[in-house]
Amino acid sequence: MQTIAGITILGRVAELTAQYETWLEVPVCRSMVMITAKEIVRESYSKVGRPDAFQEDQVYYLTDDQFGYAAAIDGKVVREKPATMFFMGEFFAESLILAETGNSIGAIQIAGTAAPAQLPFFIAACDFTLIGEELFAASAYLSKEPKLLGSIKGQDVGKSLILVAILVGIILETFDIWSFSTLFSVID
Amino acid sequence: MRRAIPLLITGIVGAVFVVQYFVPHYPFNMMSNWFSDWFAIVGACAIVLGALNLMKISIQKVIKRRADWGYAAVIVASFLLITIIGLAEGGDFRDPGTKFDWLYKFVYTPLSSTMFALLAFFVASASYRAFRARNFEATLLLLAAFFVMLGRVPVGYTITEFMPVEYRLSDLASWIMSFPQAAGQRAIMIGIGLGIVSTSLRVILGIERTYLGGD
Repeated sequence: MQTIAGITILGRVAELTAQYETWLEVPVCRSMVMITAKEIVRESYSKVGRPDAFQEDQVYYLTDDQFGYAAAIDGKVVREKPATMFFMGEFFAESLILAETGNSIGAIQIAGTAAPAQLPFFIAACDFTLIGEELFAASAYLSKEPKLLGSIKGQDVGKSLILVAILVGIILETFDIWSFSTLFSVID
Repeated sequence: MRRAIPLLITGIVGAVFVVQYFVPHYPFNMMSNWFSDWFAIVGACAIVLGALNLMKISIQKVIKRRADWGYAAVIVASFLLITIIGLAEGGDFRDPGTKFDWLYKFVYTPLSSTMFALLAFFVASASYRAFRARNFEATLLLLAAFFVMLGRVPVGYTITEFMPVEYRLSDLASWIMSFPQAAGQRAIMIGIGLGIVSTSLRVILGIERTYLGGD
């Protein structure tokens, strides 16, 4: 799901880079994602009337290996010094290696992940970080489609319901009323 | 048709995965396994595409002598070396003592470990920036980090050993991790959970179609 959210954001970024004639490079670590990402970028370039600007080698596969991928990106970043770096999707230990290298060359960095363990690293090393649900909300928000925007509203309603449930739970537990909470216990 | 079939497949597969979670009985439990197998097969085919893409781009770079073509040459040489050795050694290529195993143990593993080890330095530089007491929030973060780090090492225990148990640094560190940290993390997790549900529903119901290319 994080990858899908990241790919949606990639679509918008590609539209903007095509519009402003800025070079965009998308190195991916999953070959299945490469195929999708290539289609998305190609469509985005066509959408803004610049299909000629799209090049096949803009989106490419590097490796599935976690640290091999980090090494390849770090090398490229240090050599080519990109102006902006986007990190969207699921990350593991490579998050800080990538983000700190980007920070060391002074690139503007925007990260978004729903991996709680990697969030502190991105917050420390990036200029902007989409925290957890913001990654999913951003992908819907950027599309500006009413149906997708409605799902963000749905998320907020869901949060309000959980908040109410937590408050009711606190009050009931405080007054030793257990009958309500036992309704939700799992029966083995 | 180009869009309808992928949307239909996504909808059916997504719905089956949701249903099998709540109804773990035949045929849903079996269907979930089938789809997982298909996913593995499609993934394996995509790996070939990925490897071919990497080779194509790297070979073009070397032939046209583009910037940093030397690195591309290393990729091509490494890819060919490991593939040829793996194929030459047949089905037992992963057994201890084979040339493939030697390359894995003495080339791949040290390179991977080196990248992983870089994390130690990056954590230090990122922590230095994050823990600078620039404002109230950053100072709180600095203090929390200071007490947690000190409370998790033996010296933290030793310097507060004379104090009552509930005032020792190790206890304070545990309290920070169990209450303020856990509360913040759970709030983020609830948001992530709702975000995943909402995105999944958008994909399953075909409202979110960007992943198919275009709107």
